Amino acid sequence: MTAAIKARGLTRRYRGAPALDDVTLDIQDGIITGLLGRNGAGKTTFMSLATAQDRPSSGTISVHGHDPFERAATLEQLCFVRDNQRYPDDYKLKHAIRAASFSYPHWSQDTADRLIEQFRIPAKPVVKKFSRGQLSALGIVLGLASRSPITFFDEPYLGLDATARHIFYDELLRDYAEHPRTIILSTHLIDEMDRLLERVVILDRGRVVRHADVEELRGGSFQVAGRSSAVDEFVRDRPTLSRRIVGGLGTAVVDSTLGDEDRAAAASLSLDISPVSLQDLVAAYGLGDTADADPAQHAQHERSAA
Amino acid sequence: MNRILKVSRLHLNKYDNVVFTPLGIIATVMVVSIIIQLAIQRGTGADVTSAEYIDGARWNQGIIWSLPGFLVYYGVQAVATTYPFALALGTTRRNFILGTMLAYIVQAAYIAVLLVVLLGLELVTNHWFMGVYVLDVHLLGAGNAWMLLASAFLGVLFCLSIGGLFAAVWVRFGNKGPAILGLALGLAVALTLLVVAPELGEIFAGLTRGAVALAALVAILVALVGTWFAMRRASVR
Repeated sequence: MTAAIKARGLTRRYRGAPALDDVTLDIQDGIITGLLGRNGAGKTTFMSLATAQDRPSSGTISVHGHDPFERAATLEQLCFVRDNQRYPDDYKLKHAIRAASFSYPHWSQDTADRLIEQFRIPAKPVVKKFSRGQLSALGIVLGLASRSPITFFDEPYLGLDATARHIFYDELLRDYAEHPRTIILSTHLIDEMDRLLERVVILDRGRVVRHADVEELRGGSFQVAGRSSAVDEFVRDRPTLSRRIVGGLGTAVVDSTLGDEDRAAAASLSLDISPVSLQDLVAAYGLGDTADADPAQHAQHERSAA
Repeated sequence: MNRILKVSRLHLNKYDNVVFTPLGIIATVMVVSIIIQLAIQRGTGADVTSAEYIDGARWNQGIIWSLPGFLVYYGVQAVATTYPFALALGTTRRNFILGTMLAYIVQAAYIAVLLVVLLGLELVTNHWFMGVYVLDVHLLGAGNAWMLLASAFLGVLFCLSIGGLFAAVWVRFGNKGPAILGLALGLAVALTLLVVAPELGEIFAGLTRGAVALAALVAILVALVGTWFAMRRASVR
C-alpha cells in the first residue's frame, strides 16, 4: 500500500511549546485513518501541516511525494475544513456551496444537495449565526461533496445530535464505497466511529504513540480486573498501558496479545480478562502519565512507535 | 478555470455586497446631497445658474468621504476572513494574493465606471433637474469623465489595498501587527510633516492632480507588495 502522506521528523512549535514533536508517520492511500488523542495531542496541527495551512518548525511532510506548500496541483486535491472554520463575512449557505462548487475539481452537487436536506441546514441565516451543529454539518457537506482525493475531517461531529452523527457515518461509508479515496478524521467519539476506521494513529502530547490497523490494535491488548494486589502481581512482568486502582480493586490494560499463559496466570490470581475497546485503548494511552501508570514502559512505547 | 480567477470569483461570490452596497451608498449620498443643496437654494434664494452658486456647489465632497469606510472594510475582510476559507478550498497563498488583487481591480473598475455613468446622468439631466452637484465636483474633475474615472479607480484601489495590507499584517503577525503598522505609519506621517512644515503651504499650493495620482499609485504598490510579503508564509489562524 502506498503512502498518501509522509511525515518525517515533523515538528511544530508555538512559542517554543511543541504541538507536534518529531513525528514520523505514513498515512496510507485509499483508506480511512483515524487520528485519535486527547485535546492538544496535535491532531489539528498535523492536518494543518499536511494541507499547508501551517508550516512545520522542522522536519518534512509530503503529499503523494510532493511538499504541499504552494503546490497548487497538490493542494487542489485536498479538502480540510477545520472544526472552527472561518467563512467570509455575511456568507450564507448558498455562498459557501457556490464557492465550493467552482473550487473543488471533483465537486458533487447532488451529494451536497442531499446532505443539506438530510442535515436540515438553514438557507437564510448567515453562517456566522449557525449553531455549533449546523457549522459541523456544513463542514461535512463540503468535505464529502468535495470528493477530494484526500479529505480531512476535524472532529466533524461537534454539536451534532445522535441522528445527524449517524447520517454522517452512513453517508461517509456510502460515498467512500462508491468513490474510494483517502480520508483522515480526528475524533474523540471512538466507540461511535470505530466501524469507520481502518487504521488509527494515536497521538499524545504531539507524539505518535501508536499507529496500526484497527484489528491489529484490538487484538494487541487486553484488560484485567480484580483485587489491586493481584493486578499488581499480574502486570509486574507485562507491558502495561494503564493501571487504575479504586479502593482494593484495580484494572490494568496490558499491551500484548492474550495467550494461554496469560489466561492461566489471570485465573490463578482470580482476575477477570476482557477485551479492550478502541476507546479504552486510547484512554489507556492518555492515562500513561498518571501516578498509577508505568512511566518507563509508556516511554518505551513512545520510542518504538516513533 | 484558472486558479487565480477562482480566487477572484470567490471574492466576488457575494454579488449583493459587491454590486449593490456601493450603489446603496452612492444613492444615499445623492439623496442627502439633494436635500442639503435644495435647503441651501431655498434658504439663500440662490440662482442655481450663477457662477458663484455653481462654484460653491462643486465643493460637495460627500461622495469622496462616503465610500472609503466600506471600501477599507471590504479590503480587510477580503484578506482576513476569506483567506482561511480560500485555503480550505485548496488554493495556494500566491494564487490567493494574485486573485485578491485582481478582485480589487475589478471592484475599483466597477465603482469607477458606475460613477462615470452617474456623472453622465448628472450632466444630461442638467444636475438632476434642480442644480444639484454630486459628481460634477471640483475634487473629481469638475465634470471631466476621464478625470473622474482615474480618480475613482485609484481612490477605490487605494482604500482596498490599505485595508488588505492591515488584514494581511493581522493574519501574519496577530493583533499586534496592525497596531504596530498603524503606529509606524502615523509616526512616519508625523515626522514627514515635521520636516516639511515650513514649506507645507507651498507644497499644498503646488499640488497637482498628477502628483496626487502618483502618490496614490505608489501607496497602492507599497500596500500590495506589503500584502504579498506578509501573506507568503502566513498560517491560518
